[in-house]
Amino acid sequence: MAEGDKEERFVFSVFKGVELKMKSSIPRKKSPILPQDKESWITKNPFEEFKTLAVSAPDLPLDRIVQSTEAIMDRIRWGYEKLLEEEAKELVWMVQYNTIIKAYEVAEKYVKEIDYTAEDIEEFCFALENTQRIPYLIPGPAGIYISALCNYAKEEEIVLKLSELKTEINLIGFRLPRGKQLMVDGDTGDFTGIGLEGGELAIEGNAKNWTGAGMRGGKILIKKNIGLHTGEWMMGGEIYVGGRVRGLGNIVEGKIYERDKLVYPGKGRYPNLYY
Amino acid sequence: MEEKNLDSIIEELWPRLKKKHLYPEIPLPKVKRTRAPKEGEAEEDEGVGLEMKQKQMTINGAFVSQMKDKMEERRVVEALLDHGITHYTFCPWDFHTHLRLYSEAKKVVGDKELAKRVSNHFIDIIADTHCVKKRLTEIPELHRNLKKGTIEEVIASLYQKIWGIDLGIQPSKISVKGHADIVRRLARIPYLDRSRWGESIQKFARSLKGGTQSSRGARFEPLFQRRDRSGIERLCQTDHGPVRIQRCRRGLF
Repeated sequence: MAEGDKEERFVFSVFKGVELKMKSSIPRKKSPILPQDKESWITKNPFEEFKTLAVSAPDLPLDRIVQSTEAIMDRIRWGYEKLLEEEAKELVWMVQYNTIIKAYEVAEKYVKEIDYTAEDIEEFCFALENTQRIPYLIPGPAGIYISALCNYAKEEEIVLKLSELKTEINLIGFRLPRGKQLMVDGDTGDFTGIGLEGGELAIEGNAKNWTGAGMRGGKILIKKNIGLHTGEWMMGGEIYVGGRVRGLGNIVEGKIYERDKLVYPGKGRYPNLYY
Repeated sequence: MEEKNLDSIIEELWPRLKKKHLYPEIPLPKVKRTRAPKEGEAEEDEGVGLEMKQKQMTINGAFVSQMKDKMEERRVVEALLDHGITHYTFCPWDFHTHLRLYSEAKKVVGDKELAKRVSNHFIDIIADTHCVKKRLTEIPELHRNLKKGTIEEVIASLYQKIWGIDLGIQPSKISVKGHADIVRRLARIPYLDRSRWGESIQKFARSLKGGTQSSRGARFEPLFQRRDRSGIERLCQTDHGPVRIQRCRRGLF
């Protein structure tokens, strides 16, 4: 028996059943819209015309790309949530040497397991602001986690276009290793590039206080202005500032330039003075 | 004579196209009468394939005849109409969505004109991708034969990547110009997910913005130099390819 016949019979029997039921409850009325040839009315498929319509819905490479991107983002978010779970025990997250080191070690543990690209890091930064996706944005751990993502990324050059981000991320560029270049398009928060380990960090915007604190080597380039305590306990490397340096920290070793002019070591600027 | 021929092509194609797109309530497309350009006068609107006003689509005869050598007229018309109809049936769907996308783009690029261009390109990509995924269409063939400016090359390269169809853009050409990075970023956007169009257009604009520097070291040097124009502006200002269906939505709704 053809499949079409089966369908027709099924539809017919369903309608028959409905008709029987109605018979018992409501007195039968003659419907003026019912055609005389009732059987043909029941079996007619109103979408018959679309039978010949060829609809192709192939899986485009776009579907696969989007799917894998989503999967990676889920893993990155999961790692961040795990980090928060561990760090939330402290109740108040204080930026101290030990807390940063501990948080970074936890972040490293989760980040190492993920296969991601620089674009995923940027997407994660924007996802942090989307409360529907990530319920908690705690600037300290978030910055540590992003730094770990940058440090363990496969790419040597990482560009993060964050100029539309409303939040300024703290601690970005933490421990950036030699051979890595990280460029941030936008402003960054406090503790930018602290503990830099030979990498090159460029900020196309402003940076806040404690930039380059404890850095051991490498370069930090800030296009605009920089805050107080710049280069506190800096052990080496160079900081270039395109705008103004508001205040220097206690610098052990290294160089700081303000608009191409060497301000440390030099006679013109003194640590912990505001300009 | 030529317009008459186009009219008959449209009349012949229209019932099938309407059926293919599940009977949208759109009137029969018209053909724009072209007058012969006077001596020394550039042929205006040569690059506009399709215009839309209210619900009326108008095919530009000059565009079709220009494409005649590369592609059969019937196929050009079908591709243009597939593209146009999808603007009504999928993206932007209505004026409100169009404005919403424009305003999201403007938040990123900051400039009205650029935001308009960005949102137009974004909407075109969605419409074309939807059409390629859901319908049998000549759109890829049309893109293969279009003359391309800088932005069209980037978008064609994106299409190659997300559709998996060869459009004649060699990967080396894109990487030499430093657009590979932009294409990689653009390819991650979920174009067909309507619920995410707002964030997607921001990502789209961000990817185009400021992003043609790619060589190692070059990124760090320009930091202290004043850049006159952002990347998207550079991309769009060199965008003078004479043949573009992207302009077709002028006067939409």
